[in-house]
Amino acid sequence: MFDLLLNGFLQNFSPYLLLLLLTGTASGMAVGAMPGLSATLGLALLIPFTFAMEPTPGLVLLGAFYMGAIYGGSFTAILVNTPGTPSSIATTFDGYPMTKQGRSEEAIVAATMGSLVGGLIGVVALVFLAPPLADFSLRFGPQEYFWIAIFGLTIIATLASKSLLKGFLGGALGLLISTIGIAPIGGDVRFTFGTPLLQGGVPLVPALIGLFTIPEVIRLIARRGREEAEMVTTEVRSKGHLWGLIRKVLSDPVNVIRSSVIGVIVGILPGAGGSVANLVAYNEAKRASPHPERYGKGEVQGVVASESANNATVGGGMITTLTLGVPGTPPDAIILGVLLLQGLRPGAELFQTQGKLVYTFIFAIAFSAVMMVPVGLIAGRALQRGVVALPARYLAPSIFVLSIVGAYAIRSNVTDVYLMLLIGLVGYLMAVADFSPAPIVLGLILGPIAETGLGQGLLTAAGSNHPWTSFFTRPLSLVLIALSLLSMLWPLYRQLRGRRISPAATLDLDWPPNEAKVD
Amino acid sequence: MRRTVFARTMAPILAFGLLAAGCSSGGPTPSAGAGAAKGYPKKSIKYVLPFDPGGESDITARLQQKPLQDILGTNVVVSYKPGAGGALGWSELTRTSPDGYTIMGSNLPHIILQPLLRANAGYKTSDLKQVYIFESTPNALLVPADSPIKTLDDFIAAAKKDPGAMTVGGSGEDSANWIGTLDLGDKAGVKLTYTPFTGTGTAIPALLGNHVKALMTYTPQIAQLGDKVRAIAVAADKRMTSLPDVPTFKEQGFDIVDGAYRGVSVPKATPDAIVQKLVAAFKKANSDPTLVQKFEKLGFVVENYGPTEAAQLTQEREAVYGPLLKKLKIIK
Amino acid sequence: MVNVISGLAFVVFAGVFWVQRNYTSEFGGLFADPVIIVMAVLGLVLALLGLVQRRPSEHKSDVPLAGVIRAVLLLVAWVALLPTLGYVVDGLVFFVLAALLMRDHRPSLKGLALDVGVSVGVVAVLYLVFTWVLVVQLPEFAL
Repeated sequence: MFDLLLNGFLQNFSPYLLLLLLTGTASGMAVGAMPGLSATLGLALLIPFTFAMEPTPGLVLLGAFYMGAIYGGSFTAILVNTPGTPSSIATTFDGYPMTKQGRSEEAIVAATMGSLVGGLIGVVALVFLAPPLADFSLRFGPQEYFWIAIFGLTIIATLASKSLLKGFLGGALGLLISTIGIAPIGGDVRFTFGTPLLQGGVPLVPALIGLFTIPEVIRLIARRGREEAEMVTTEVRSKGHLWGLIRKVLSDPVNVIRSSVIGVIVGILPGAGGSVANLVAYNEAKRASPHPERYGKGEVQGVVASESANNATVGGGMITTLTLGVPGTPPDAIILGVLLLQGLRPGAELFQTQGKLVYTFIFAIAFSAVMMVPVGLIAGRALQRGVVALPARYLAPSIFVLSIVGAYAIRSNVTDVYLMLLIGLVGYLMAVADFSPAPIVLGLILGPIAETGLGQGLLTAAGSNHPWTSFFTRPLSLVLIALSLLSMLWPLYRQLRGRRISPAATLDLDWPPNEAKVD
Repeated sequence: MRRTVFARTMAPILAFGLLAAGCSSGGPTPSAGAGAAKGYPKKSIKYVLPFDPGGESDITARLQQKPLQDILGTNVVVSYKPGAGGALGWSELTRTSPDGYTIMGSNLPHIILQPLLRANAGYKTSDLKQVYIFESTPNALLVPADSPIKTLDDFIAAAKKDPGAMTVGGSGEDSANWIGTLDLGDKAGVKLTYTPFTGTGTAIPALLGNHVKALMTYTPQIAQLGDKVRAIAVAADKRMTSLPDVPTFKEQGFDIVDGAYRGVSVPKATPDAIVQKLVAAFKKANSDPTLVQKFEKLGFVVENYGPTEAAQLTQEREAVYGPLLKKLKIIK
Repeated sequence: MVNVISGLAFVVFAGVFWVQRNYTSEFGGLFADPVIIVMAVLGLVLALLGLVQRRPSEHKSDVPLAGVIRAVLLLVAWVALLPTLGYVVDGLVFFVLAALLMRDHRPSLKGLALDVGVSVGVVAVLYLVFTWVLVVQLPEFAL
């Protein structure tokens, strides 16, 4: 195998492939940065180009694009509080506060380095651990997916910075909205309020833009952008400046590695991809940190956690795609399609008979991760300087124009733009009432996963007398239940332990209190 | 004072805007009947897919894009309008101008089952005029390779022993996999529990991980999964050349021939002359050897149903589904 | 007070959904019903706690209400006119309007020209990128 690895590594150094790597990565980053354009859509647009190419260059282009797109989502997440892809939602939690504090360059560097390490770790897992990880992923059945979704919802306990009660209300709202449309099990058409337009439910991207971006736009316009003075970077431009930033963001290797591992594991689960990975990694980073109160106020490690996890899903998802023929994430479906079109069957034989191609492809993904660094640091920082320098009276409408296009582009449907604005207005009101948007988004993403797992679990256990018990008797489910309980109770435990407060204090609407205020 | 300034600034902006509008609008103009067919197509054709990018319909459309462009002599632009299993797109089609410049991917049995099962799908089956059906994927019943079930008879025996315990996974609600499972259960007199998964991508791990006992899926999956699964029956008329070892349902005593059919449709009122031009184009594209080869690589069966044959097929399937669903008390 | 209103709003929202329930299969409400119930209960709790824990509003909003209303009206008009005016016209007009609204003083002619220029630039670039490069459709002028 070693010679195959070496060959795959060296193949990528041909000028043609290097050029493809660069174009793929850069265009992927651009597409990923734009809300409303997903990696999947971009890959679909590239399919016709790959027809004209040999299999290897075609796959190299797709792989590079995919890796770049997942990274690109961080730019808009950091600079304008709009996740470019759902994989960068958690990046906004600390990335945008950092921008408001004038530390956007540090955030971009953090996203870049996190994505680099995450991407590489994902590829390492793909190369060395593909078969065992693929088998592991098969052990997750519907019941396990249900508990994963519940585990995801317990993250609300960590994210709710103002009030647990409000956090869970937000989560419930997200869950309820996710039920609008056709039920995943049973096919009921629910809560469409009489209009067939809502049959498709509320799609995630307009809701994301509505909840994260619109309130900011409203604030910018209403305040006539008076806060722009704060956004000017306060950092001194010294010679070792960039290196200093890089060292700073990598100063917590445990965080990066843990987040990447989370990304790999979530990636191997079909039906959960970057959008879940970044949130789980963020949650774990906050829990493990000695200063959890800094998260949400501009803690750079939050950005690192989110971005390393989502780029690790690229390699992780590829594991099941190449080994089992099962796409680990939606973009993998396209890459799988192209593989099949070229007559390549996924499975063990693929690695044996087409080893050269496969390993060249795998290394291409790794190279793309490396290429993201110079491209990202140059383009990203240019973008960052541009956005920071832009007067607010141009920034706000620009963001809104981008939001309209982003909301419209996914389904070519004006309804989505209406939904985006409606959700945005509600989101603004909720923010005024001290509800943060993150729990709502969590509910939206995890609702379908939970409901599908619930229904499928009951159906697949239909043979037994009490299908419900299957949710509590499977070993993997029990592990997940334990994790969920831990995650749920941990913030409570920490607060009680550290402050010796009575449990009744948890009902206080300002609880958990902010331990440190950042001015 | 401010108001006049405002008005003075708005006027040039509006004027400018109107100019820009003239340049940017390129939307479809309503056709004027058969006369519009002359010189069709005069501008780009929108090939809309009512599903998310990356699925089988997407890859098919991308494969057809270039041949169609060459044959029709105009740009063919692929776009997506996903939602509600295709219903959002198809209901939108009923509101689209019938000038032949918007064609939409359409699938059987989806366009039959959705209006049948949903109170308001937004469209009726007869609202869509099917232009061409170019490929199909027959249903196939799979079990894991290490399952004790080796033949369809084993499967039915096992299902009879434990009613409801035979879990069969499949892709989607209201889909070919679903109705195929219902049909099999009805004809074999066994109670099968169908478990829907969102697409084959999540159904297959369920089978491989033994979370379901069997899978009613489409034939391409057999080739993709190779020796990890055993195909015990395929819902085709005769054995498929790409799967010579897999017996059909028919030869094992069950008249089940079904699967998903993919084609394109236009709004019902589209003039016949335009429809015929599209039919000719798809017919030619479908006979292109490279395209055929790629379809077969993906495990599709190449079909060639024109509008009349498609309508006939639709009616036939409707005549099977309606009574079956009524019998199973799924619809009244 | 805010908490009481929000709490009650959630109860109402849950109620609206509860009334809309119309399931045809046994799975329809399996997940949705518990969520609605939980939402109603939590909303009630929030409203009650809001009543009980009346405290002086530390909530000093740094966003002027008049500004918020202006912003909301602008954005609503922008989106409402999108199908009629199409992306390009709608975007151009409202971009400039937004830029003007955010100025403190009356703009000079040069300032106005700059606003229009930036508007054209941004709207046009996005239009080109989406319709030419990505071949994605945008709403068209439909008057």
